Amino acid sequence: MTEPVFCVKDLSISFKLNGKWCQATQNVNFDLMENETLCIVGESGCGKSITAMSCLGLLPKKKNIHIEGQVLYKGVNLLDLTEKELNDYRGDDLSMIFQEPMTSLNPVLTVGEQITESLLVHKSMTKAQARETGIELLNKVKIPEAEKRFSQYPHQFSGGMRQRVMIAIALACKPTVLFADEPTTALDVTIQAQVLHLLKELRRETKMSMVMITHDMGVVASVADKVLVMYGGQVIENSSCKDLFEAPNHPYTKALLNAIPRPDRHIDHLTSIPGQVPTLAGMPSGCRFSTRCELVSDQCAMTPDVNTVAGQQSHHYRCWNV
Amino acid sequence: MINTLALNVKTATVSTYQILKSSKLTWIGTLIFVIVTLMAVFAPYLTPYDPISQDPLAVLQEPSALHWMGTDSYGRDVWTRMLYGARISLFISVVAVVAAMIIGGALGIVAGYYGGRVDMMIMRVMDIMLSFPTLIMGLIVVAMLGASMTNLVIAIALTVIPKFARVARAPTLSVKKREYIEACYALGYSDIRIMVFHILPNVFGEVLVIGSLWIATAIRIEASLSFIGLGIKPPTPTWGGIIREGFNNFLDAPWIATYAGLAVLVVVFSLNLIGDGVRDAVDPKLRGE
Amino acid sequence: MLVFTLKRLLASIPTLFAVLTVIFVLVRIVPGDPALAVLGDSASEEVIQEFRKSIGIDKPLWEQYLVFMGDVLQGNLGLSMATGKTVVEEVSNVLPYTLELTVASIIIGVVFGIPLGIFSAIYRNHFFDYLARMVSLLGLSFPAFYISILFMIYLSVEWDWFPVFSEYIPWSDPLTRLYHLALPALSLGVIMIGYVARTSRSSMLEVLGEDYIRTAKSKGLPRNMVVFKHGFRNALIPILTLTGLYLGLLMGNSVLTEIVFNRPGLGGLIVGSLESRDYTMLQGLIVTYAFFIVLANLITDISYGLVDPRVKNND
Repeated sequence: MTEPVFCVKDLSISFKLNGKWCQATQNVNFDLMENETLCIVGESGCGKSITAMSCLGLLPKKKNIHIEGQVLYKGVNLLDLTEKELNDYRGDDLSMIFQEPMTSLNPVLTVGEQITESLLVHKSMTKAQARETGIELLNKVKIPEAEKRFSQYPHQFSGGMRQRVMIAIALACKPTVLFADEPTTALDVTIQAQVLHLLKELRRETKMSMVMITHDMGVVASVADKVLVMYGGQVIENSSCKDLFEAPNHPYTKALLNAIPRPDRHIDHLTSIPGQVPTLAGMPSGCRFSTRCELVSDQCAMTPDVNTVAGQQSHHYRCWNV
Repeated sequence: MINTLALNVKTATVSTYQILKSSKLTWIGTLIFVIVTLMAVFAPYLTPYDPISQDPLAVLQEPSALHWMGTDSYGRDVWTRMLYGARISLFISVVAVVAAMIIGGALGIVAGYYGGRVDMMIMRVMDIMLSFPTLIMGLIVVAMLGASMTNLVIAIALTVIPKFARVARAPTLSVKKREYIEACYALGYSDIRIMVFHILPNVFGEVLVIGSLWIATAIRIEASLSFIGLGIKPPTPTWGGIIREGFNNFLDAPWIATYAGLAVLVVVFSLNLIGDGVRDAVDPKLRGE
Repeated sequence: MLVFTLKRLLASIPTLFAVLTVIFVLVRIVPGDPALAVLGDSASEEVIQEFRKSIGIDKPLWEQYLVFMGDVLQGNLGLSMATGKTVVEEVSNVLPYTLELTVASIIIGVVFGIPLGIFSAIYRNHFFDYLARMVSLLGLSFPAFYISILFMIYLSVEWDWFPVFSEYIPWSDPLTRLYHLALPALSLGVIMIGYVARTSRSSMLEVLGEDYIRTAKSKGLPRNMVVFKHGFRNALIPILTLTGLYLGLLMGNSVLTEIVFNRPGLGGLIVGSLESRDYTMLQGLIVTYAFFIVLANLITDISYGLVDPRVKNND
């Protein structure tokens, strides 16, 4: 078996809020193979974005943030690196697309400057080479009149176009792993589909691996190879995409899947999960989903073990009652 | 939705309180200001001298155990004059800011509530007044009216009214759109009743907080005007006037202006410390969470 | 850029009109009679009427307004009641000194204040940040006359580094002028540093929390590039606006500094006209200040366009 390109081992992140430590993620694990897409799914506040941020070392190194575990890229633990050493990886081997295309681009620099920046820094290209590559990239993300658009400012682009620019920036140095943090959430539905399609196409072309963060099961179904379902800072189920959709194990995953509208099922209303995600400070002890779970029993007051599904080696879940 | 909103507001105020509590400098500022205010109130008990009566035998004496800040060219104890001056300077500043708070707040609420042309007219005038340097504005007004305590209050109030109008207008605009204000329309309440009983309570807190910030400016303007000679006429002690007197004798008695000015600086600085803490607490971006 | 500048220039004309109108109204609605204020309570009715006629306030308001606006637009601010010279002449004699002082203090404020604020934001909550915050808060707490007096007493009188009096400064000799300018400019500059550093710190902090800074970091750019190329240019936009606003403050403060250093300038003129009850001079000075405030806003607006591409292209 080949080595994973990127893997996260027992990643736990805590924040100090009002003098109290709160755990944002607890023992998150995943492996990412070459040319593979992993989706991390969960409601907002479940720790998925923070996981991605820490994969690029983007969480500030401050006294009120505590990170444990390992983030390994080609065997190097990124968490051990200094900011300077990290910069050799960020934007080059590892890059990231963010949720908000409207605010993620710098308003006072031209789109071209922002795309070519990482080429100049990481690939030591000349300005002319970088410009050429930049225009090529704009063509690749299907921005019409790339040459003209290259020297325009972000405010002259629509939301969908800006997200394409973000993708071009992220792909500039041909990264090995691309992290996409809800890249389509802020966009209109039709634009969402276009951007998703573009990402899939580019991934096939460049053979890079991708970690996509989303709360949309529809997105998962269309892009993922592997899925990580997170709840309250924990991975509560992980498996291949196919297994997850065919045979979800955790009650939360089931509930999530039931919340997707599907034309093949004739139901009057969509099922929703009752209650709200507990806050970081008010996380229940034992199973974190117990406050909202239909199957809750006395046992759930204790932290459930990680179980493996019989016959599916890479399918794990965290529940007592399956 | 409404629940979460209420929740957010609550957590915001809690952390604001915590910031205020945790910021030592804000407390140091508050402490200094309270002490100075108390000293002004109890001035007669803190000094054996009279602020006005002259003593030809003790002219321009250096600071000593008898005269902590020395004496001025009429032989009056500078420390005593500073204490009594604090009464007048603080009184004028606070009254002016309160007056500006009421008038400016009312203008801001009216502008925000009626919107449209009324809003445009009021705010346009406010903006222009705002663009005028506060000191020059005060100078002009006092020059037109003549120097007296009332006129000083008017002059200082006029320069800060536009600031309050702005502060009051913004929350009015957002409160106006809430459901309960619409309910007031439905009940046929008069505009004045809605503004006074339903909008004012929502705007009041913010205006009050900002108000505390402008006292520092008011004190500085009052001192500046008195320094120029547009304040209350001597021999009544005012901070600006005492510094001016010291400045007139700065070759013989540099300590007068130095110490008297230091007192003004400390008070303005302490108020700015409070203001800084309040601003940090109000503006979450500056907290950097 | 040229089109943008011209547009702003045109847009500032109605502002100037509005400012003049507000001045006119303000001068008339404040309670009290200028005639009484100028001549004192003991003046006889005859003298008062005479005075009113001489400055034109015996006419109906609308006529006064038209005359006032007409005169101002023609650059006619009347004759000084104290010296008999035209107000324009008196003002233009001393204006260069005030402008020189204002510009020098702005330069001091910007050159020291911006780096102080920016580094304060970058090293947020470190010792340097606290120090810089206290220094700038102290700077802006200084009444302008007090810092001028302190400098004068300690730097000019005690140590004799700078001239004590600057009543007459020959305009043609740049070195002497600089020698006389140094201390007044420094006094106002210290206050400006306080304001500018504070503004710079808060706008830089705000910018450093923006999403595009995270994007820049995720590109693996060196820290300096993130902070200066991506952060600083954006932070500069609010810094510019507020510095423009502080120009007004500076003009007010310059009055005090000019008095303390006994420097020729608008400050001396305004105080002189107050003492000699020179009503026309006072009105002329107000108009002059108004003009410079509108001009300062215009310059701020235009420099905006230089830093922020959104402004330039949207017009």
